[in-house]
Amino acid sequence: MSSLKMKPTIGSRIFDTCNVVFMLIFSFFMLYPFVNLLALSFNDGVDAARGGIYFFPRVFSLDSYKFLFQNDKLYSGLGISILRVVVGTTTCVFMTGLLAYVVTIRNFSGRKFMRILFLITMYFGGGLIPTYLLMVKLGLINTFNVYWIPGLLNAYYMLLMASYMEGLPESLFESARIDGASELRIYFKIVIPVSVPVFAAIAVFSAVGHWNSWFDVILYNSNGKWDTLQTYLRKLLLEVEALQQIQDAQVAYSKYRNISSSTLRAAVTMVVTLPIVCVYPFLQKYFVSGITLGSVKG
Amino acid sequence: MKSELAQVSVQPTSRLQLVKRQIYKERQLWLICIPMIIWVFIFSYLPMYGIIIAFMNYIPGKPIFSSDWVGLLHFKTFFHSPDFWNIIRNTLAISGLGIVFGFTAPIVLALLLNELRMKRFKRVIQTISYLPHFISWVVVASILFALLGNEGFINDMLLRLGIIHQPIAFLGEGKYFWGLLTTTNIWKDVGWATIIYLSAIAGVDTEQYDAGKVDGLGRFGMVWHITLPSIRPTIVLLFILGIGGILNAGFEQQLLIGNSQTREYHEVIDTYAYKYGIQLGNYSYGAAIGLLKSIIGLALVLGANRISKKTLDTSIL
Amino acid sequence: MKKTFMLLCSFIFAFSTLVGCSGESKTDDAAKTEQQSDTGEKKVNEFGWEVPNKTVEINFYSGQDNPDNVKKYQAELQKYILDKFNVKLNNIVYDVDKKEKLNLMLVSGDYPEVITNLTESEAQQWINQGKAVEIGQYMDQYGENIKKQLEPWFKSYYNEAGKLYMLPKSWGLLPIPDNSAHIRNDWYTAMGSPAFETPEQYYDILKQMQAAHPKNSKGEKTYALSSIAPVTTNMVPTVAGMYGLQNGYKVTKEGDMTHWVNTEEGLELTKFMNQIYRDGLLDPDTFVNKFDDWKAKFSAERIMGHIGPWWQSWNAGHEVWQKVNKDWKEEQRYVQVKLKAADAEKAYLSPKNARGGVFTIITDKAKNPEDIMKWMNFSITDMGTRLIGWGAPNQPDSVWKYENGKWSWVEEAKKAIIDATWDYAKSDKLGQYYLSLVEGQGTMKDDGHSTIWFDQNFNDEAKWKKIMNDNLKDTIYDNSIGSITIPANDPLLITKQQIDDQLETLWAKTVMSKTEDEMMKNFNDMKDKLNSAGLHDIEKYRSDVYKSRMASWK
Repeated sequence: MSSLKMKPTIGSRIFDTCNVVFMLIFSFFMLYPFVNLLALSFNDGVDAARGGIYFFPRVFSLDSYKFLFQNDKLYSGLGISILRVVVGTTTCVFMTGLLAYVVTIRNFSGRKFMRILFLITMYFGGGLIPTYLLMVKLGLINTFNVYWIPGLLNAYYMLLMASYMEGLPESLFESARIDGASELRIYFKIVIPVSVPVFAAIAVFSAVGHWNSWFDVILYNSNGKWDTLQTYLRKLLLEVEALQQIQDAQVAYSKYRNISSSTLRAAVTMVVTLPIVCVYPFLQKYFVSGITLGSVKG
Repeated sequence: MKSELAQVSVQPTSRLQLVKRQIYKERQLWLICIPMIIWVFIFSYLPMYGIIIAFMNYIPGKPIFSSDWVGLLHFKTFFHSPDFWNIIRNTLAISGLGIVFGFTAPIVLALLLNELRMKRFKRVIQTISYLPHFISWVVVASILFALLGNEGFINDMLLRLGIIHQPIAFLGEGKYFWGLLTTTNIWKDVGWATIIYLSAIAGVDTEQYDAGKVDGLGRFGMVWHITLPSIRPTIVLLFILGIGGILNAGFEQQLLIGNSQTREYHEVIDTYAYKYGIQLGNYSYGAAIGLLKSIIGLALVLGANRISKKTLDTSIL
Repeated sequence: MKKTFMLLCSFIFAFSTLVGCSGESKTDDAAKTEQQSDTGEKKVNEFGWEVPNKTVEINFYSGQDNPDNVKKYQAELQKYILDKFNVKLNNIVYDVDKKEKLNLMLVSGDYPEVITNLTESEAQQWINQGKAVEIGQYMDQYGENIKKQLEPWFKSYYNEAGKLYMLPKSWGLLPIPDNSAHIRNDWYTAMGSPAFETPEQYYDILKQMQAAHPKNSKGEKTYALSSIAPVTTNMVPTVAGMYGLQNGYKVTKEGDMTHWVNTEEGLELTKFMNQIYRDGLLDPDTFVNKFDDWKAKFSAERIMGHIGPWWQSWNAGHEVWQKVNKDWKEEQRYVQVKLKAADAEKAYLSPKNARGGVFTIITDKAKNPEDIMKWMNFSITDMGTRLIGWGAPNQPDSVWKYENGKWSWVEEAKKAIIDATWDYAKSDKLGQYYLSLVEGQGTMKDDGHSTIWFDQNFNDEAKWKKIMNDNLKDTIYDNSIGSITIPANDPLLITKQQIDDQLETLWAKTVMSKTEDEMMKNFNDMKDKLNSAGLHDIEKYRSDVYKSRMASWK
């Protein structure tokens, strides 16, 4: 808005036009797979096997969606997914944000120690089996807690948030400290309000991560009680993978007959993806416009 | 002499006291840290005992410590494997291209998005740009086949326009693979990676722009002198982490887009470790390769960080 | 002090007697109930099964599948068996890779009492760690039918120490062909059904057919042949079979095995494929196609022939057309045909492993292995196999009836199979094959022709199945001795993986050579590279196993 005050030069105008044209072409490429999937999902299943569907359905059919929405577990899966995203994202963002704040305080003696402690976890892990055994011993198997407790703190998010917070003027916190505010109070009253853009960005990362993760669901909650929406998509995709292990021709014949069509896979992709896609536009407004530190400082 | 002695005897207590005083002064911070340390110890450090299977012949189901020690055997096997140099070449090439192009693309996109004047248009484009991130690689692979196969959309167009007379085997020839993969990776994640830069740009104090206007900076000048320096810590951080991740050249995309004809160009450390480690039941072999990757990755991050600290005065620690 | 000691002693005494008494009374009770059940009338059901008083519960893990579907599909048969047999079978599957899940089960100790669908080396892993129950000890008492049904292979399931741990599934020589060449039927008859026998003659016909149909209805180019990657696994063993090799290996009478790459026949079949490529009639995506990609081309009528399992040209051919095209006629389909090279003595197209492809173990979690053995002993009988394979009888949607000790088909179901109108979603709901632990396969001994696969019982009456069976009659062979797998943790596995990887890459390059000279050079390059990567070691390993089996299994 402030730039509008300036009289745009010709170069600036040419640039703007090119930029818009570029963005339009760019968004075509970005949108294409969705258009393709959408077209597929509205196509007849058997017909789609013949390939050649790009922009529009060839034989229109709502069967895939009808089939999908008949499934009651889809709705409970949606509920669990939402619960997971809400609980997982809030806890992760607030805890990791707190950690990031602590490791940004310049004269805190444990600052480097904490950073290295978490940095190492980005590179070294025990592998699948020890982690699985740990979850068994902690009693997290077949519980909802396995979705958020192991993901409470994230080293990568910590570094990103800390790099943002380092750009904030130290005086902001010092004055509060002198006034006798506790660190938690500073975190909630000062750090979070001025770091909204990075919190929003990490919230998008974390929410999408929670929504999309499926391996921990089928690994730790294999009894199906806490199946998330994403697992439906994965089950369809894994179905194809599992087929390759079949050796017997008779079994292969019946399994390949019953395999879900590419149209159903497309419909599931749409149903599973659309809710989470909406998270971004919602959080976007928190980092579209620049922040004014002056208001907080004053 | 006497005073020296006194000094020596006084110093330790005073240092201890100093530490005590420091911790007391920071008691609030340590109280916050202690639960976090416990958490990271349980969830990240406790399972790390699993690393030692890299030096054993571990068979799942047997207690880990009853397995046979083999020392560095698995590391040697990896170094002497006939595919070793090929794998290293592919890994470095793919992630090298990723760093050069995949790393800069989101920064450029973020800056271009930021220059869009219509806010609503900007938001829509931004949302669209991150859509491909949600498409699983399986679907991406089948779309690529439809577009780039020998009889795909692109070849069909080129043939009809008379530009080529023989279809180009984009997917079936190794020499195209690196470029293809880099492009696909960028396409899939450029919008996603832009988010963090956009948030960093949003964090730039608007007062700075006002000051820039007073100084008579043009649009390009604003970007160069205000926006870019402001998001520099984020850029440097991601670059350093990118250097540390140089041995992560992807996994799923190789398995799904690659085929036997591109194998000499698509096999990377992770796909190799999966195929020869987990799939063949050689957990120890997989763990050894993983450990090697971790050590190199961490060393690279620390090294890159040291250089960045010296030259750019920016450190991630 | 003394007092306290005495008090303590008396206390302990009193306590121990109490415990002792209660223990005794417990065993008394148990003895009583046992006696009761002994004296009480034993109920024997119509299948001759002695119904136990207490429900026998058998939970078994069977690999990777969709748990919701399996739960749904097994329900009906599960209930039937519970009602009639008082046995509760529960098939457990997970969406996790089988290998990975098995390892997690091993490390966490969380696994059910029975595991099935194990490969021999997977089963071996459980046996080695002492987690499988030795079942040889129950054989005399409970395993009469198992022994009988598994002849003549029964002894081969024992290990060298004379112990028995695993029982086979999907075993036996079924007279149903698996692999062959396929040809588009209506176009072939339109050509006047010219005779052919060798791969070269077959290709010649495909070539003429392609010339007659150079484009499909959408104007896309057509090809003589295509395949699904990896081609060296999906197609080459069958082609090699046409040249007289067995599952990709040349086997001498003495039991020496040579990989096809190292044989004259291997060169011949490569020349054959290269010719098609050089004529521009091999789908350029042959080495890239995944199943769906191939199916898209195949169902779009762009491929004249096919080499692979019989069901592929069904699935991607007329089963698509009959749903999409209202004017579809039953002649519009592919037929399975036999090919045999001029020099080959016999075409070996469908290798059958009579000994069993996958295995079942009873784990140490089983409280009463005897009960499980009893069930398996019934399950493997001819009637048990029918029950497991065809689903519950006498139900509204059943495919068979069982009354007064006699069984018969439900005519509508039979007709649906013969007319190829059978709805396969229905057979899933009947639980066909979902509760199988150990099975009598091959043809059933009581009538000599029915098989566990419900839909394969009327092949001689179903027109197109009969054509296939007649065409491919003498292409099925017993490959039990030759189906050799390298055990887990053997370093040779790494060699094999390296060779498999390279073979596909190098052979693709060879087939796609532009001239015959180039092809010869590429072929020899491939041979050298594979042999120096250790192909001879694998040949030697296989030959050794083959020879030792020839001696011990005969």
